[in-house]
Amino acid sequence: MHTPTLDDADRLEREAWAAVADFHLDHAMAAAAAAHALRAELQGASHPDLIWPLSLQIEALVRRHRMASAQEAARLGEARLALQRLVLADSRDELVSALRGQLALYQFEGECFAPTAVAAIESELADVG
Amino acid sequence: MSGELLVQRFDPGRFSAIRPTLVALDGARRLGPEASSVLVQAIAPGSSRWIGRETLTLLSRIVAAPGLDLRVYLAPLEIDACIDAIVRRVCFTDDGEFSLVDEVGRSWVVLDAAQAELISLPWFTQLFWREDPTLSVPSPFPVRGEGRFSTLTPRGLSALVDGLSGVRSTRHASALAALSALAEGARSEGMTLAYTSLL
Repeated sequence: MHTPTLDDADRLEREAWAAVADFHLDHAMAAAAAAHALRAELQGASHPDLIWPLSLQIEALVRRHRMASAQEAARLGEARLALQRLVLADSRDELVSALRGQLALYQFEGECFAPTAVAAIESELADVG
Repeated sequence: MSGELLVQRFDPGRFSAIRPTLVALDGARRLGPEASSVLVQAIAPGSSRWIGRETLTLLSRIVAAPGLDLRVYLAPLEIDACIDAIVRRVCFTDDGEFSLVDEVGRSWVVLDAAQAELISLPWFTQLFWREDPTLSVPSPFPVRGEGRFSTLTPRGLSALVDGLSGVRSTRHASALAALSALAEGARSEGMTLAYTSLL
């Protein structure tokens, strides 16, 4: 019986990446979610390598272009941002980009659907300077 | 069959030289100094008008953050955009410039109406539509997305030159003459032609 390894996570992520690019979004979501679960199990829930499968899922959800998908993308974005705050603590410019990226996830067709969350991020941006 | 066929000059030698950089970008981990130097050259001022401002910014961010894995701060399709831009900047003549308004340019030919005439020729379909690995190969980079293309092998390039020499067209003479000149020029300079279908 095959014991899953980080190579399997890499493979799933590459599958998801190709699927996102070709708009096979259901397959992308499934592969990216499986990679995320595998990395969480093998590397721990706070490992920065979990950022990537979250990014793949977010990209697939954004490409679906539906409100429910946008909301799910924003939720996963919050999990991603939590990890990015740790790994980008010494990279102010990239932390700012990550915060701005999260702000963008709270928009769908020009409308903000999470004003409280946006206000919190904007406050954090002001603090980061 | 799909849309217009875009054919462009391509430098396989330069592609081989930057392939390690493309592999590194595709790995989405931190880049080493040699890979970073390729990006620095690509974003040099005045280097290209075909790399959009957003992609230039992405490449600049990568250069500015050598200690970070790309995957912790860039989105997957952003990395794809960087790979596509580097390939076009370094390996395509005129940075991969082309136009759908002018079917013939210094380093490109777009076969639209002319393709309808050529497609009845077995050597043409064998060359561009049958995926014969002795005649053409898909480029390993870009890996994903709309920027993917194939390149002619030396045998494929010769097949194109030989095939065009036997075509007697009056309706599309200029496009076919331009394609022939493009192919012969690439062959004489140790380059090849890249092609993709524009949908």
